Amino acid sequence: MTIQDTELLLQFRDPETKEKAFTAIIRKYQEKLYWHIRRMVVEHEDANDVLQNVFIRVWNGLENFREDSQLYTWLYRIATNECLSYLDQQKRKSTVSLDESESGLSNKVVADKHFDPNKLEWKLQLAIQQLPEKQRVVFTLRYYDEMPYEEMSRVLDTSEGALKASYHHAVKKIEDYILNH
Amino acid sequence: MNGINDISEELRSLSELVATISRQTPYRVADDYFTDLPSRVQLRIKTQHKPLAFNVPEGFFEGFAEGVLARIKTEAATLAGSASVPGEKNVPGSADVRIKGVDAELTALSPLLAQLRPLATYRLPEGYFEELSPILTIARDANPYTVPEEYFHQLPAEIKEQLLEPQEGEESTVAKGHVGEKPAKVVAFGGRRTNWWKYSAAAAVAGLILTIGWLRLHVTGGEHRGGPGGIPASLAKVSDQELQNFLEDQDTTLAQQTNSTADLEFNDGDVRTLLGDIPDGELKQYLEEHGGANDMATN
Repeated sequence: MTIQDTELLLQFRDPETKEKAFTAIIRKYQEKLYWHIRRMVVEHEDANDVLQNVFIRVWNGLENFREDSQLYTWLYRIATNECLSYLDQQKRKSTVSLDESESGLSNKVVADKHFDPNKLEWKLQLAIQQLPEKQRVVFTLRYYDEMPYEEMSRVLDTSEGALKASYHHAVKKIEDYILNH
Repeated sequence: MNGINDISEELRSLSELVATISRQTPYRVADDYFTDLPSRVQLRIKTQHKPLAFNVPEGFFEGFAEGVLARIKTEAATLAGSASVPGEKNVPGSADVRIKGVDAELTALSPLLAQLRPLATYRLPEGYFEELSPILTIARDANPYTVPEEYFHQLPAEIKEQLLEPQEGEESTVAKGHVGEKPAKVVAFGGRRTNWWKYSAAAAVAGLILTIGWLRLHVTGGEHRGGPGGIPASLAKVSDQELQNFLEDQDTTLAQQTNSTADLEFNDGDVRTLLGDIPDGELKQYLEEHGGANDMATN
């Protein structure tokens, strides 16, 4: 763990500096976590809800953090789980099938105010939404956050080999989608 | 850095196309979103774990249930007592009656206490309830939901448009008073009226069939019209004088009785051939019965 993260943890465990440390942790990781969540849930409002839930869980659980991984790995793990739970919840609330839920997120991409179908980065977002959830996480963590497989296996509790295979499949699917649309 | 280079190399090896795409996420977020995110999260945490500001006296809950029960019985007795007071409106369960009953009782027991009763002894500091939950006070006016611009300006016009333009094949729901609703499909229950119609239609058809059948029977029987026994029976009822008068009036000439037999030419040879097979005894008997061999027609 970085020195700064270790210090932040110590300050967090001190009741007098707990809130200050917590604010610092939020400021340090808010953007990274936000964009990771946003790429999964697409809409800002949903991302905001999930992000706040993540930090509330951090507040409740940081006291018991065992420090067997980096703090940001632990944060990413919470954020990923919250995203997947949130998406499951949305699926259960709506009456559409699992297959159609992906098209629901694609619709949200298309509905974005700044959506431009001619731009490749928007096509990429649509392509990402076609991937199964876990493959989507693997791809975004590797492609956008440049996370090593070793860290990713701790975040997702999956073997490195499976993650590599998943990432390779994801890239191929995205390439096919972009070429065909 | 090596790790990042590896990732880029890996991506290029998998897909040149995807490797060329900009990694900048196209989604946008408000500029000041991250500025106050920590304070918003802290606020949310505080509202989740707000400790109670109240204290409860020791021993308060011991015997609490019995105290409440006793109070209920007392009030019920007071209510019953006040209901028998003449000149008062006796509405069971009425708070006014209850209060009047208590007042009356207290006045009877101690006029001083009755005077002190409406005076409030305890006071609360100003803004006490707001302090208990300042977050709620603040949050009351803070509306987190956003609405597209011009939404409320356009809403009346949109609603009017929907109301005034009924869809194809549907009546306007405005006239029926059901705004925005499609008229529901009415499924009638089978009732007596429906059954009555069915039965009467069936009876009519059956009667028609019977009538036609009966008429046909009588027509085919048909030479004997006019009821049982036919025309001769009807004529038997008419007197001879009336018949004669009818005939004189009509000046009817009776049709000459014509010989309805066929006019054939027979010669003796033909008769012998025709009668050759008939025994003589039978011929004799025929002649005796019908009288006069000489009268027998040979032509």
